[in-house]
Amino acid sequence: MRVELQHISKSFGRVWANQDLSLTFEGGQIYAILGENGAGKSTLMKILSGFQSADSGQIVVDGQAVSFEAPTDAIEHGIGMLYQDPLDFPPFTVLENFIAGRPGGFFPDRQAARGILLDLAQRFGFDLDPDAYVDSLTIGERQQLEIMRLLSLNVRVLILDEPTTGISAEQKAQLFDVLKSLAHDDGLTVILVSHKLEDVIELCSSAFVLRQGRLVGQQQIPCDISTLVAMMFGKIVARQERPMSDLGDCVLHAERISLETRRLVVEDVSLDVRAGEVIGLAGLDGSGQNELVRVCCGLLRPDRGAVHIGGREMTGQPYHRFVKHGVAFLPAGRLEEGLIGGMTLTEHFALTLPSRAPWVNWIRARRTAGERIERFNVKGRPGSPIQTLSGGNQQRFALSLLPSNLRLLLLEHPTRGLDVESAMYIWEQLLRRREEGTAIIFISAELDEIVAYSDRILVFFGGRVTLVDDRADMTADRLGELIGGRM
Amino acid sequence: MSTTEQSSPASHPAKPAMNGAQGRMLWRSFLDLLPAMLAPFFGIAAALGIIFGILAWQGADPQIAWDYLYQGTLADAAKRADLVAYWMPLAITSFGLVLTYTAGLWNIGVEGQIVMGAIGATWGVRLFAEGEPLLGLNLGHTGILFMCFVLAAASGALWAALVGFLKTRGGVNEIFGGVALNFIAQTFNMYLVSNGGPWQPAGSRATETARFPEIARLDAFAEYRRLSPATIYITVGAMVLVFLIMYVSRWGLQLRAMGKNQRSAFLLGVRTERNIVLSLAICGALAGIGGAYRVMTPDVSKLTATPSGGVGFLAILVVLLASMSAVLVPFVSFVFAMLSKGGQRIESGFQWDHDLLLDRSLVRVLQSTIVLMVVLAFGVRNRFFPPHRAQPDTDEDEVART
Repeated sequence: MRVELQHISKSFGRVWANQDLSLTFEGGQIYAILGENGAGKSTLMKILSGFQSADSGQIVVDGQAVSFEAPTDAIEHGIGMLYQDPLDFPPFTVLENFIAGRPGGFFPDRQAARGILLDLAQRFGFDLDPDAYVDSLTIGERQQLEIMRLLSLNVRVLILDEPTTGISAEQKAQLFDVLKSLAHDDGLTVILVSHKLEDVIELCSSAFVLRQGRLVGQQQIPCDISTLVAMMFGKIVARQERPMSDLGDCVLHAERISLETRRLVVEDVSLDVRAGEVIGLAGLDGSGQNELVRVCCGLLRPDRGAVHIGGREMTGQPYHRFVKHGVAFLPAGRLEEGLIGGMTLTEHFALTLPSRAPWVNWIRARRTAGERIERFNVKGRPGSPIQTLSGGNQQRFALSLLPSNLRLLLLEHPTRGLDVESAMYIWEQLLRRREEGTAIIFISAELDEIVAYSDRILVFFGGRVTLVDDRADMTADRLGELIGGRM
Repeated sequence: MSTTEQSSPASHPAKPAMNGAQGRMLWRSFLDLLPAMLAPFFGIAAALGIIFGILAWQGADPQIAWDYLYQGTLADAAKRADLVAYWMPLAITSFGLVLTYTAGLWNIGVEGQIVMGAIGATWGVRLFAEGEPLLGLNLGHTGILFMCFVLAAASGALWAALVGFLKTRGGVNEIFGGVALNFIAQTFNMYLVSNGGPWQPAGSRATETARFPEIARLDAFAEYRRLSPATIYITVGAMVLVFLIMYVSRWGLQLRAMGKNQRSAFLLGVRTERNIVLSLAICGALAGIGGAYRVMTPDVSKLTATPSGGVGFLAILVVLLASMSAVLVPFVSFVFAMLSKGGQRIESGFQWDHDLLLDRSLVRVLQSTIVLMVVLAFGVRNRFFPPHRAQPDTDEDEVART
């Protein structure tokens, strides 16, 4: 199927998100849409998938101009999009999610749907239990479900927004195999929206690069990563090396933590972290990293074991007690559980700035918002509602909200979905905190990030943990083996 | 609906250079608020239009209905005083609900909280003003009334806090908990005053208590015997309290954050469980005082079978139509009070006016039509004049700075 976007423009207020963009996608190919945060990639893909409508320009499918009022229209024309945060119904089961949105009258044929689901899962080698609840799945598994759902609706153009963030290396390899097979064997058009140039080079045959709402150019792949970087940023960025620093007292002492969730048994995890230390948690999605992090800030209560913060026993205490003792937690879902959509940046500070007064000091909140926006390079105004910021800016803002003088900072995927420059900026800020004596524990799906910034690494596999503290072992290859369960 | 920006001190420019941008922001938030302010009036106008249309179609002069509405509410000072007396329980309950709805809590149980307040006030009368006072305390007129209001507030607060505990500790959604507790409160009230219940006077067959003794009756204005100055002071006090909470206090901001995203608010350090119980309790206390008004109004002065008379549910509509804005609540609740009161007059007017061959139940259509029309007005607003700040996923600031 051939899809043409012709002279697409879209503005929000007086700002152009897309300006006169013309792109053509052929069947059987895998394309990348590249660009920095806020370059207009997401807007363009939302227009193509019927989620938003363009101000001007048209979409031509196989020579015929079409117009989409809603995502269902786009799906009827064979265009489906997989969002970065999968749009599913967590309280439903896998099968129910699969059925939702399928045509099929008032009484859906559950048996037939189950058959289709299992067939697709088997073809792609996805291991999904149709009766499992979606809120117990990892992002990677929810993504697999969404891909199968779209394919079962006869989608011929599959758009994926940052599909490799938040999923494991293994799931990524599997995803790429599936996408290649869909493009080459089934003739589907696959469009990948991504910041991760390695992924793009590995998977795609051609890349469109956007900058500030305009099309910079189309680049055939294979090519050098630096070529793409140059197109995206106009300059080449490199990862920074972190300086060595002395470690302080023990801030976290976790002793033989064990707990059982519906999906996973975490057993006997012990960890001591000293001030200024950075610990990276690696592992397949859902191997127990998130559970450990949540135990360390009081959001989960371990079945057995003890947690000490700064020498004080804290096991079983509520979250706010941990916060009081200098622990901060930055979750992965920014607008789901980190920030409050609908509130402005100033209001976030008014809410979080420590104060004994019962009233809000708006002047101070506004001043602080202004200062931190400046210091953390957030592109937004104090009065901007948080959801109008792009992902990278939201993450920088979330970081700017954290109090100073933290003992322990826990982060889930701190640079997920960010471009290289934003990710580096985040790490600059984190390393500065480390200099001030804050211990950092972070979860990441990107091994090079873990290798580059961690003093020690915990590798999770099925709830069990291997500690890697020898610099010689800290290579992506060795970690990859451990993550896969090879000791 | 965000309504606090313009009333917060943050809007005072910190730097003179910000004046232009801030002016525009103020203007924008005003434009956002404008449809919310106009929608109820549009709804009322549309509903009246429909009613008048029906009347005209039935061959009746719509003017008559209007006359009755006006005569029943605003025609003279005594009517206006009655209207204010009728309005206050609705207003004070609505103020309480602003807190819970802002925090994202559907306090359906408010009806039961009003009933419990009415029972609490009556209990105060029985403890301190009838027979031998409790502990031999002779509180005097003011003291007794004060204790009645305190007991009413406490009963309402307790009933509401129960909803909160059921939610936070028992995992019972506040809607289900509220509905159940409404039922229990109403049944308990019936038990007290009917079929030889403990509070029904011996030998009486009326489902109500005896009239309160003179010492436990609220003082009314000399010329308006249904309106008591004390209730006005308390209502104004409640209004000031809710204004302070919503527009000045950190707690109000926390409630707003919880209403938008409870999980994020919790992780950002808001004590959500405590706030759920607390906001419900304050709402319950205000609703309880509303219940006390209902039984202590000078011309009532007794606990009846239905002390609330649906004020709680009406208050929920008021708060929803006012978009949870404390500023709009007094106006919207006043309009509702007027329609309720005026509706009664139209109803009785039709009953006795034999020239009009109309089913008087037609008038009840009026209130529901208004609600429907107002909701429709909001729908129309959102469809054709989408609010600026509810624009998700724009990269406006992003692109603006590059």
